[in-house]
Amino acid sequence: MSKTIRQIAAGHSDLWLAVAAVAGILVWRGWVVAHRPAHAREIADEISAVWHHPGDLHPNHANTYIVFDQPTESGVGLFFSSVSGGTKKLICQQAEQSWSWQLFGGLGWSPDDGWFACALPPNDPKQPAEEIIIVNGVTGEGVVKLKASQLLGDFAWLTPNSFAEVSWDGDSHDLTVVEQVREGDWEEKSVIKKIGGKNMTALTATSAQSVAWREGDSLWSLDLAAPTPEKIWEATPTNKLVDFTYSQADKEFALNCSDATGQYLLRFYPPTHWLGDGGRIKGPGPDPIPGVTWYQKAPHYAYCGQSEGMNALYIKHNTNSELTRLPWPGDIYKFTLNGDTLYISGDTTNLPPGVWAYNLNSADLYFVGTALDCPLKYAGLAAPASGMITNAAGRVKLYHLWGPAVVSAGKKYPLIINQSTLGGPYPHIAASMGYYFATVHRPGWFEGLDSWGEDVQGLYNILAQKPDIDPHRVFLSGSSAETVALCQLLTEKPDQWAGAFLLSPSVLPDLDAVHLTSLFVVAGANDGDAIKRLTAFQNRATDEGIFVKLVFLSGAGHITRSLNSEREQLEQGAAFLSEN
Amino acid sequence: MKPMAAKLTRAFTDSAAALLAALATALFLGNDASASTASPHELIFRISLKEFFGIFDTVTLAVLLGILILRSPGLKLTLIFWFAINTALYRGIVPWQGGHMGGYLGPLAHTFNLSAGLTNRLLSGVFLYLLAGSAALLIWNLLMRPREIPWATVCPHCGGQIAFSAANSGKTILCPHCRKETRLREPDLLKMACPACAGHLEFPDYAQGRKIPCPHCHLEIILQKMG
Repeated sequence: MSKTIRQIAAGHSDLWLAVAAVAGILVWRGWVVAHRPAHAREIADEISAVWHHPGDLHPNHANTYIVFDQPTESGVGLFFSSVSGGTKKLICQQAEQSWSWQLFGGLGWSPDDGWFACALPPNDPKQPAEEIIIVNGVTGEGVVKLKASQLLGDFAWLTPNSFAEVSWDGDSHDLTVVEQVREGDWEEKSVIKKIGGKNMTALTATSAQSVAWREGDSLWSLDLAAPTPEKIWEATPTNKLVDFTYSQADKEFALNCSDATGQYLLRFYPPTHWLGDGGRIKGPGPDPIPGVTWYQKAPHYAYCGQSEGMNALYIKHNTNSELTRLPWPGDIYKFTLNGDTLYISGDTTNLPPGVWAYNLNSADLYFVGTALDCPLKYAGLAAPASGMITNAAGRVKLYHLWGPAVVSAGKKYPLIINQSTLGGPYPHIAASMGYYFATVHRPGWFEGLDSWGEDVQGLYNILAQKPDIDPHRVFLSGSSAETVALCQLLTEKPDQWAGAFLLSPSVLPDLDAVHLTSLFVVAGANDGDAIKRLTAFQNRATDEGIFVKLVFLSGAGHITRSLNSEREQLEQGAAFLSEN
Repeated sequence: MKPMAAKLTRAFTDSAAALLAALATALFLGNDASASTASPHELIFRISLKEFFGIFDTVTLAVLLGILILRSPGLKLTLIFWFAINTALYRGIVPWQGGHMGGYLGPLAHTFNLSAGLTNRLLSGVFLYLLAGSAALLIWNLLMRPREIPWATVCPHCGGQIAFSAANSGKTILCPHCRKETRLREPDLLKMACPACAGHLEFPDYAQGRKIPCPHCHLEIILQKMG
């Protein structure tokens, strides 16, 4: 028997060798996969499943229900939820595939909280007019869909059963009043043409029969019964109108203004044109404070700042109260002040994004809702270490550093480095894949963007000295406008970087000046000419000997909006990390 | 063919089959690993690298099948040489046109945790081996091809044995032994099948028992009348 096998084997030695070679290659591939971080796809899936942060927050006046937007599988949805917890209910959603430039989102609660209105683009070129959806304020069920203009601009509730909407006709803004005449039957009552120019924003009801709005740095009012707009206030040349609110109870405007030294509040009583000082916003430092959110009248505001190396919310509750500081160990996406409650959309240590409510009187912080529907099996949500660096231009900056999930003594780990506003899911993916992820904190998207290169270089100078960081495997990461500075850094210090992650890049590296071995580039397939531009770049890079992993997210534009796109991006990113 | 050449040829074609099988598998896995990402165009045929590697994988498989199925070592060597020379030509044209093989091999390199440079060197080594090996063995086999067995006849006058080439069969010559006119008669040919490759052989009866390399498979066989 064994002789026969030997004879057969001898007669087909080429076949057996070929089979052995195939087996050898498969074993090699298996060994490579086994030695890569385990469950890369599952980790990416888990993190993308929980990391869809809520956007704009719309609590009702009574602080009992809240509406917020949040990504869904195929786009962005508007969700209705009870503030005391419970299941969120999808009101409507806009698909990423046919994302419209038209207004989408919450328009506001009626004065009695009986209704909530939202705007939904039609996703239908044959029917370009937007829909205004009126939602029951207690059940969250959509009650009626009303056709609005193609260019719906603004909206304000006048009474519990009537509202005003503003639309652009290509030349000026027109105002339409709609009223519920019978249950479920909303009718257009009047249309007032040409009330405002192209800068008209922030339509606000000042009574059941009047509205106000801003146009540039001036405030305008309109009595619906005598439809001639009237300019009621205008900023002086030295100041600027940032925002305004109106209290119907006090018949008073709170004008949030800014000048060279920061923001301050003016109280304005239209009947007599009385102007009063509402107080200046004082921050812990000398710098002006950006992004202040106001509530109705008086110095009642909140803003986001930094405290002891982490985010913090500062709240001025009323005229006489001290500035309350709420440290926030995580990212803050949006916050809204509503009476005695501050709503925060963000994430905190070891918790994925969600909505929190902070009661200013009792100082209680509680969950309203979170994206975490299932426990994480493979992924970890690690808290970063924070510290201060002096950037290449000599300025002191805050940075965060996430370490690999598992660290072995004496081993060196690769590093991804950037400067960004939010950590998002990427640090957690990188940490799970055995990378360090470091980011210099940037307060806003455009604030500090100009020092991107200096900040990242400063952080590199410190982290490259760490004994457990491999200085030959340092990657840059940046998205959109950040890629301008990223590409500059790639060419200025070509030997410093092993590769780069470019997310929706607006600028691409000069291939003649970089010494990279691999690049990860991801962009939406609907992001302008991304397919043509990036494919040409990939062809050139390949001819130059640089491997470019290029991923197009079908349906996505410059910004990814759906869970599908986010998942695809994270999965491909995780695969690239595991291969490098 | 000398037994050494036959052995070397066999060893070479076996190793070529193994290398081509490994290459085809690696190309398939490389293409599969980058299936969901956009692929750049290669420089010469202007098709995507995924398509190019898919076609190259198919050609590699076809050559492998040829090696496994064909019996003639000469054909096997010719097939390997054809594959290797075309690959070498392509790899020569790409840099000449301004391309860089390292960029092309990125997906394959990442699939096996290698740098693009090392992958390129490995593949260069494989193709050089196939090209040099097949060329050298083809030349050697040509030079060392089996000489024909001379035919022989017996002089009817003196009984002396006369050896002659098959081309001279039928001619009348003077017998080298007795100097009388003698016709060169075609000997009776015996037939057999090669025990290794079953190839058909014909030989004169007096060659029975001789060891010769089979003209088909080049393995050394003993000439024996069938049955």
